[in-house]
Amino acid sequence: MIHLSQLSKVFASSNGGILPALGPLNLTINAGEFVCLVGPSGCGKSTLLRILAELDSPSGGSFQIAKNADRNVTPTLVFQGDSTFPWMTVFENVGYGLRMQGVDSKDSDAIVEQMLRTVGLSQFAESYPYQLSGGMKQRVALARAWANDPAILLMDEPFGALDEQTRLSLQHELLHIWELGDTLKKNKDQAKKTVLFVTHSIDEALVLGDRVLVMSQRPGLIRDEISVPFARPRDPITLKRDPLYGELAYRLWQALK
Amino acid sequence: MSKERLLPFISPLILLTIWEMLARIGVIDIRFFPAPSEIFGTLIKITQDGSLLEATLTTLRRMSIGYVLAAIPAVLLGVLMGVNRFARLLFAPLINSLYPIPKIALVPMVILIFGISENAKYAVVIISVFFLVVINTMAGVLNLDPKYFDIARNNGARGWDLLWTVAFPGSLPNILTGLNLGLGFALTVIVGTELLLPQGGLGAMIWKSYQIYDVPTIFAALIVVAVLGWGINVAMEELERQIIPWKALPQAQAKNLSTNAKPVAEPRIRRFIRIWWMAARPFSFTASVTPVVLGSAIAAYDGFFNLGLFILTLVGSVAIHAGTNLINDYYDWKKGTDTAESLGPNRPLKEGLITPQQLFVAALLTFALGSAVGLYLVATRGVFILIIGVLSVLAGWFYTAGPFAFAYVGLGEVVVFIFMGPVMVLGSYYVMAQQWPWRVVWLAVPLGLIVASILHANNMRDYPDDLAKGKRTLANLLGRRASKNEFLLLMGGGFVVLVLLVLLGIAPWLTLITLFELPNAIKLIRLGYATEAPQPLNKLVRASAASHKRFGWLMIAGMIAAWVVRG
Repeated sequence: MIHLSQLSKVFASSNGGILPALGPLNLTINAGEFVCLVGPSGCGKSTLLRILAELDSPSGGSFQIAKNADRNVTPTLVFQGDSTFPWMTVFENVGYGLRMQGVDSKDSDAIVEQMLRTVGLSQFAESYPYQLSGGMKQRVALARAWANDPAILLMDEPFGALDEQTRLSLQHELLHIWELGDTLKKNKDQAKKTVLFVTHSIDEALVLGDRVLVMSQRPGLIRDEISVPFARPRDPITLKRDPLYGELAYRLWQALK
Repeated sequence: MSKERLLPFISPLILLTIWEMLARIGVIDIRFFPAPSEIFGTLIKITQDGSLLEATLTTLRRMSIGYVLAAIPAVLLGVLMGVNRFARLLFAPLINSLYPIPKIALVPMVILIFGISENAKYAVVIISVFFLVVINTMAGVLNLDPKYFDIARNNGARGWDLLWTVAFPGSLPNILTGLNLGLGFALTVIVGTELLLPQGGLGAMIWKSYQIYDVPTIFAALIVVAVLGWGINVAMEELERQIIPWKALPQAQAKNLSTNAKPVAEPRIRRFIRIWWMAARPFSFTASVTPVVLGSAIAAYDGFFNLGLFILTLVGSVAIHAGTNLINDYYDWKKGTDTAESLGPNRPLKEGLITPQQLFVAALLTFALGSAVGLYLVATRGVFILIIGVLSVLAGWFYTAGPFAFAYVGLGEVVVFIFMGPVMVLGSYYVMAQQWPWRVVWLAVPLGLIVASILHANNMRDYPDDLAKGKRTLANLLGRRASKNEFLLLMGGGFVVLVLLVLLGIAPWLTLITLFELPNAIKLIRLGYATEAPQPLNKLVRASAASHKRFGWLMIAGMIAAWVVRG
């Protein structure tokens, strides 16, 4: 669960004044919900994610986030572009969060192996990122995020730099992992992770989200909200034949104008 | 294509030929430009009388002591300045203002402070290397994409975690570049200092030769300096490859991107070398090269080094090893055990690049070369070599043949330990030193234990197969549990024995740099305990071999460093 009340962020501008970047925002995202956030560049989407990931602090207002019950993990952020550490093998990259959180190496190895199997990278466990393609690197980032097993996952245009085909297959994979539910299968009540997914692409938002939020130009405010009623599990390709898909896409484009 | 490959060799050769001709017909003044053949002759002469080796060792000793004393604090300070703004603001003005001073200009000041002493020479090297390495290290940390720190924090890294998992490994490539530049610079500066303070070393050799107008010696010393500079560069690049396996080398990247792109037409000589190189399985040579080089390094440490004998020993043992590989593959092919679907060793044979007959002839030729070298060594260096040679051949023969084949009665590890450890090390030591002190046997024990651990890992992997075939190995005689302890004993024992040897004063303390390999060895021992599945055990075999290679080279590096430092 994520709850924002009057959350805002301002930056100091070069001429000494202040530059409102975000909000004030009021928003509630329910546990297990997949919410996509679309909006023009520079509207503060990334800033919002950084605040929720505790890499930045808000200028005003407050937010509450649900944390993982037994390990108290902050929301994991999947960064824009390549976010693997070049000096670690795939295995070490995926296990990094677990290691930093002091998880016993036997347990963490088992989790990492399971995640690598899920994203189909078992054979590349000992490879270094330079030996992987862009899509494979994003799979590593996904696997690392899931291995951490946070209650909330924040994703900042993770597939933005990929070609269309790779992007489709990764969207498919993301939905698949998400629908598998909790990584450790410990918390039965919290089957799926809460996801806040930032994207430029309206198609991506419709394919992935339960709900799409449209943000306005700086300072970012939530201008519109569309719920996406497609049944799950979804297939990113067949979805596009649904007449409702075109209708929703049209409404989103209108809202963005 | 092949023309282009030859060009880099042609221009120096032409230059040397013209030079030689001009000198001989008297067009150029041989007082200033002696003929290349004369320079070469001088090089041989001062190599034989030992003066060149002594000068080189002196220069290397000054360079490396000064370098190490400067590089370690420089890396620490550089990392600190990179991660800590306060430290950066505090030290940067000092570093930035002192860095541009031409260091050789400080020699008079250094002499005033330290007098004309060895310390003065170390001081010049330290000053030269320190600033260069600090600046490169700091830049390395500062240039690291801040995104990595965000990712680390978001994954729960705090404080020191950030330093050890992000700042340090992330800036390591730049740190090593700085260290590489620093070492090259250290050589330049120490030779320059020796010109000004001519007391031993290559610089002094050049200066003193100048004073007596001995121009060929000047050229000979210059050649050695150039070769040292080149060697340092090559060694540092190899070190970099070992330390930074994640760095995409241009070569590896190209291989990755175009797996199907093949060279258009390979020159015939290159193709020949490549195929036979592949056929001889050079990756297995480490097992015979390492003990030979170690034995020679110990001999060097004891003051018996001789380049010619070293090369002969190396060539002889590699030839015998290559011959053994080739003949094994030939008989495997004849017996048909090594069929197309097996992972069998000889790829060129399987791919039809060479015929079995060619393989057989090649094996004989290689053996002939090895035997010729061996007999020469026996004739000039004594019967002891012959005894060692005959014992080794017998051990090799009865390893898999005869009613009491060592490998089939659980003695494989013992035989490999004795022959790939003490026997080979002692043999190559004896070639130079003409004596066989027990000390050398002890020094070979760690290497022998670790080479035996490779075979043991192999037997742990083949446990069920060997049991079924009735091949008794130490692993299945002991049983699964005890064989894991045995692996610990061999792999871990290598390190324990080495530390004991250092404590007892038998091994120089610099050989403790082998402990860099210890974390890796511990990982392998844990892997050995953790698994009984063939797949990870196969990994254990390969990783043990890699570990043996690194352990061997670190030990050799330690011996050589001890030799150089002692002078």
